[in-house]
Amino acid sequence: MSKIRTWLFTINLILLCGMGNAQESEPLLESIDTIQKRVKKPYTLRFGIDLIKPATAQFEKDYFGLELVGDLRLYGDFYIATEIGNEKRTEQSELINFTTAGSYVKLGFDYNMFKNWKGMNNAIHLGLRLCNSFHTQTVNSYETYSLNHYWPTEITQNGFQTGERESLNARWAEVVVGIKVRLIDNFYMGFSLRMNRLFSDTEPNNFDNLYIPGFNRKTDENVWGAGFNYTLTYAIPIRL
Amino acid sequence: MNFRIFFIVCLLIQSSCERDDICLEGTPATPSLIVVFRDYQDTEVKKSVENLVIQGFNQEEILQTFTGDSIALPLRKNFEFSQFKLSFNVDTDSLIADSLQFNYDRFDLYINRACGYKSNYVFKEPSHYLLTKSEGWIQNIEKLKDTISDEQNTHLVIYH
Repeated sequence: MSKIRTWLFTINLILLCGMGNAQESEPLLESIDTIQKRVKKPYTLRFGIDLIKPATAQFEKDYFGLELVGDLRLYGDFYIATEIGNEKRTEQSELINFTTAGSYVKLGFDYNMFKNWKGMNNAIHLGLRLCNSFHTQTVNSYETYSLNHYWPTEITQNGFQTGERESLNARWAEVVVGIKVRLIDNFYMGFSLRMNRLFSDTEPNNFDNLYIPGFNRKTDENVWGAGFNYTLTYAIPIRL
Repeated sequence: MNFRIFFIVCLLIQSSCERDDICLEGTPATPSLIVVFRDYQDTEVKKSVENLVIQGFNQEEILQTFTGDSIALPLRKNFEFSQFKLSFNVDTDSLIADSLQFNYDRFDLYINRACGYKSNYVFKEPSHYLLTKSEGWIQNIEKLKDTISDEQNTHLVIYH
């Protein structure tokens, strides 16, 4: 885990440096561009990947994850935004060892609150997503909960409640706060924080969705969750 | 400048804590077999045992030395039976002992993340064997419940 934190910290540093550069060049642009010209802003298609999931997969052997992200500026400061991902994750949760595998789709919009200079596409954005996951839960092994430990510990490896629970899904919404900063040319780096609110999930037979791909950890107590991503994206201006 | 403040905030939020998963006390766990001791001559009367040594089959340690009229016996999970030896140390030389086998099927129920699963049992037919052929102290055994799903009810009666 500490390796991941180091990794996050490094990425943060890189991002900070990138922003410093961007800001220093701003006053120059202002002094040149004094006449307000009404130019139609190009539609910008931006797509890329989340860096955190592949990085985590490097450090944790029980994890695989990939997330593709994209957004398209539609009108004014509104963007339609999407994330599509796949995760496979094995966890020893107290007495149960289980594997969650599946895909998810998040679709929604972002509103850019950052006033860009002409030609720039940095963003501080606020958005909303509607999300759906399609996943399976597999109980690999477990030890049943007992208060008496007279007999030797007996772990159930097969039969009983072990095995796969198929065709499960979950629906939730995310409130997204994030930033996107230009690194070089058309490459952008982004970070976003997400607050998730679970609406419904199909309950696996005699088990629970302890983890939901895209949503992360589901707790017994409430329907809220959280997540974040670091993205590297490439932007293409489209002039129509 | 706004960007920088935003980033510091982001860094702070990242180091968030996770709630510990502790199975709360009082959550029903895997139940033990509840056995009461009654008088074989007057079957409605409870009859206590004194210094009954209870030992699981193939276990080096004894479960407990028991005095009273009802006891909880933990059952094995990866076997469809559990065997116990119930013996009195009358004096150092002689020993009155009976061995019992309980037969059951196990099924597991999901509780929650922290507690995981608990096991319940259903008695098979026959529910028990008295393994000692010679004269022991147990006169009769009666099954009261078919399923062992909690420890509130008596599952089995031993008449002695």
